[in-house]
Amino acid sequence: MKRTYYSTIVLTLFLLVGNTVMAQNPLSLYYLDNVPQSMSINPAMVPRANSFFGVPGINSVYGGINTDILGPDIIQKVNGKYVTLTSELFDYKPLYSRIGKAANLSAYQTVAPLMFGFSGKKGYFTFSWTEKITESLAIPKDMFSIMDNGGLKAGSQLDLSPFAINAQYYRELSFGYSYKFMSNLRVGIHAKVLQGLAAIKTDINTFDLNVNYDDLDERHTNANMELDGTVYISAPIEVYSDENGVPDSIVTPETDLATILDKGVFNFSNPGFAVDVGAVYDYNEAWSFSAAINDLGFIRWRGDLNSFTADGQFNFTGVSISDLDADSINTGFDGLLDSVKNAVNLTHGNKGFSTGLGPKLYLGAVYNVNHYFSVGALSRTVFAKNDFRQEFNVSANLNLYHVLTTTINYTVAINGANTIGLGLALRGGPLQFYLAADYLPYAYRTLTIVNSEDGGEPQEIPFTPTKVDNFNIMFGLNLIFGANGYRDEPMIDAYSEF
Amino acid sequence: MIKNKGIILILGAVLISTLFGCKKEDVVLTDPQKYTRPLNLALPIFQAKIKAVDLIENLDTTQFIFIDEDSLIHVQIDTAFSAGYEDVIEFDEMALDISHTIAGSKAIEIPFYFADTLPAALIEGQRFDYTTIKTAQMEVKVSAPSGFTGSFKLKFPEIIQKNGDTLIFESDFGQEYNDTRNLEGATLSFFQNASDISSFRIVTEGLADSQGGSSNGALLVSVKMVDFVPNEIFGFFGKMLIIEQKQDMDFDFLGDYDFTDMIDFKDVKLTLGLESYFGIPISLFIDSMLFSNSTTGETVLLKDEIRVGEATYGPPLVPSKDYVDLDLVDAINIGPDNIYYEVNAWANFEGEVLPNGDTVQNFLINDGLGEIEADILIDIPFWFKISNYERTDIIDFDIRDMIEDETTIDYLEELILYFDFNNGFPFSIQAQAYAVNATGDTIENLFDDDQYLWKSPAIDVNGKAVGMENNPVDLSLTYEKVKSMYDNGVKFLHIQTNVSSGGASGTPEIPEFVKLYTSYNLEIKLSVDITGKASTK
Repeated sequence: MKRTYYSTIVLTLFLLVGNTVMAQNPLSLYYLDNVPQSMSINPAMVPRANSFFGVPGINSVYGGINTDILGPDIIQKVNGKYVTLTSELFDYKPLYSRIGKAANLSAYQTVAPLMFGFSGKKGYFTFSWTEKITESLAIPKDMFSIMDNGGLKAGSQLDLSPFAINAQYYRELSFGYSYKFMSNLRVGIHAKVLQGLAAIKTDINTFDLNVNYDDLDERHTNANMELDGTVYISAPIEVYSDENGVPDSIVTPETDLATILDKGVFNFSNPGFAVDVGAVYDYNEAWSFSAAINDLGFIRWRGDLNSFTADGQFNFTGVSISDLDADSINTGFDGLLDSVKNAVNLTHGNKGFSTGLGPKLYLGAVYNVNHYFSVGALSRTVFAKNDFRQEFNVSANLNLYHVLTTTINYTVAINGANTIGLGLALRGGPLQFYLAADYLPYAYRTLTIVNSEDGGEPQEIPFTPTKVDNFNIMFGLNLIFGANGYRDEPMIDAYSEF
Repeated sequence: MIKNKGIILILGAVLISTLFGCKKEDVVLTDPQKYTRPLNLALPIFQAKIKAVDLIENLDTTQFIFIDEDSLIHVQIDTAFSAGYEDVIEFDEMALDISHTIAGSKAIEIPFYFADTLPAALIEGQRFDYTTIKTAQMEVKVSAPSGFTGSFKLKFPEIIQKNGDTLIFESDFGQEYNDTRNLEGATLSFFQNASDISSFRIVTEGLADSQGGSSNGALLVSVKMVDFVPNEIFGFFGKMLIIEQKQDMDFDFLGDYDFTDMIDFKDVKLTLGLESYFGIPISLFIDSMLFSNSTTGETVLLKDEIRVGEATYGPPLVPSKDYVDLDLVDAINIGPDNIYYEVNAWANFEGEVLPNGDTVQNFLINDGLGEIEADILIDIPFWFKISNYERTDIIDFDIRDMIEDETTIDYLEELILYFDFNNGFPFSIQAQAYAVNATGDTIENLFDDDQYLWKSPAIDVNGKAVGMENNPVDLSLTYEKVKSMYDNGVKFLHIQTNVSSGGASGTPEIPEFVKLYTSYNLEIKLSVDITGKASTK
């Protein structure tokens, strides 16, 4: 019976995942439990204050990057000389080993124009309005192999199907409520109304490119491309097609105020919904456990839809021309793109699509050594399409509640980065500043780029990380009211005996 | 409190030592944007199917191209002249104003009679016998003397109206008489007056009474035939020049190609044709047809004539026609760039009485067909032999502009262009491309010596290429060759080609007469294979 439940949960998660680009809040935020934004890790967590008000626009500034392309092997030292992808001395094997089928590059930005919360009799109400942008690009390994091999050799067989572009811009209106069930159990929920503003999503099943010898004469080659996939776009663009219905141009809209209002602020054609649910259980004064599952939801994209579907093969045996004059050759090359579009049966449609937010499961435990020092552990599992990513984090936290809260932690990502994170919250009067960052690059160097075509003037970039796998940072300003504890539960003195 | 300070100090020390401890060796990246990996590229570039019929459509001189029923391509220059009915006969408005004196008498009516003629022929030596009238209006005005009574008749004995009656106007004296008759369908049998001028007569007769007055009076008669257009007209229309043409035309269908010494055309002719719907003997003279080559100064002068008798009167009207062919092979093979000619056509060139004593009777029928058409057709079928026609084209090829960075060459081991020429045209072309520097020195030869680009398929007995001949050509640019071209500053490619007709199986020194058909094709396929190597620098 348990297994059935488990299977059902996993299946539900995968259905909700879809194609997602997953913004992830810093794990360091989890340990800053007097910062209101920590409830974005677990909705049951509430700040130790009667109420708070995020300074508009700068209460939750978040940026993150996640990539496997900027690893330590992107710059290699060979025979005393530093080289990168374009050099004949560069060894691609470590890069291939790192990226697998595709190199991924994802970036996230978040800003919250409005955020506030206040405690009720037993519960804590919160509201936030957040603008979120997530982008992700997957570059197939075989694209690098073209660079590696200096082009396309006869016999090349490239699988470009891992190519993907996924991005979405949406607005999140989150209504939160955290309720204390018992003296040691608090549960919380965030109900999030989502307003999709723009998105692009690729769904490529097949994208093969092969270069073969001509059957009759091996002096000649032909290139064969097989493509099966769809690109979905929800954005205010106009697509024009030729007389055969094959798309041939895209026009972007005017950026006047009316368009911005219509397609941005008041665009309600792409609705979505998501929930975060979580619980915090204080086993005793020393031990506290928590669990949360966040971003369980999706956006259904229905407005300003354009989809481009291709399903076919194009065999390239050279540009077809009918004469050797310049006009004919130009016409031949001009017609090449049309030939490709026709061969792969490129069609334009208006298919709707869904995107998920990337559900995340947080499991955490904190051991309070005393009132101001604790150690903790946190696990985050991020569910992606047919995949998941696992991170483990351990921390040491110093919590001088009146003024300062800090955390230093270390994250181990399975098949990813292993490095430290930091968190800091400072309060003076009602004003609170906080900063939380994971995956801090601890090894750095000065990178000097010499471009001989520009006269050889070196360009120095100091403190360049030796590698960047993950990095995220969040900071902001809050106004905290009644910061010494809840109305019904005064704050303990941090300096009293434990 | 002391305990807290200790922890903070320890954390600070860890942080500082971490910062310094994690400072790694500085990195200098030189020209990271510069791609220095060995190139390896094998790709098809283009395949072209060039059809003779498409090449013809692209010519500036398409209007001179003619494709016959066998799809053989010809250049034809067709010049036509014509003469119509109005070039032979001419009628002005025919009008006569006369004042006749009629006698006055106190007692009786006195008859009067006057006869006049109105000339119709305007051209000397031209005689009209009879015509049917297509359109004409006869306007008559008669004014009797004041105080006279009586009547008059105005007769036109040569004009018989459509109803068979002679044309007559009659009336009593009174107010001024005005009348107009439509003569459509009428006939006019011309009266030859004393001067042998074709005319028609006007007879004025009647009775006049002066009503007691004794003085004479003036009877004013005005006759005008307007809009006169004959339908059929017979007579002898005189010896006259009816077409006179002089033309000086550039003849540049061979363009800038100086083939003169290497090309021989076959079966080139000029056809002079004449078709006449005139009932008149016509003689057409090419008084001068001069082909000239301004480069070589060579000229060829041709003269000829053609004569046809009168058409056969119908219905149906059967035109007389004839043509004559002139052999133009000598004229065309000088490679003319200009043709000048003078052409004249005469009617009744030998007069009314022929040398054999026969008398010529002319007629013209004004039904839209009654024309003479003379035609000069120069027909040059593409049936020729070309022997080792050699030309050199110069192409800008500044290798230092194309390869900005010399070190790029270091990564090239070899670039091979694989051409396949599958040729259906009856020509063999040998080519050599010389890479030449600014001072004209040849740095490299790109092809092997005596390299064929195209080879002619076999030529059948009719001069037609049979099937296609495939010729693979590999153009190899090794590192050494490209380096040499770069180091020596190659700026131009001199493409030298040698064209011969036929010469299948690689024997262009024995050119054959070949015909050029629209069905010929040339297929070209090009692939590139670039092999790179690690730079030695």
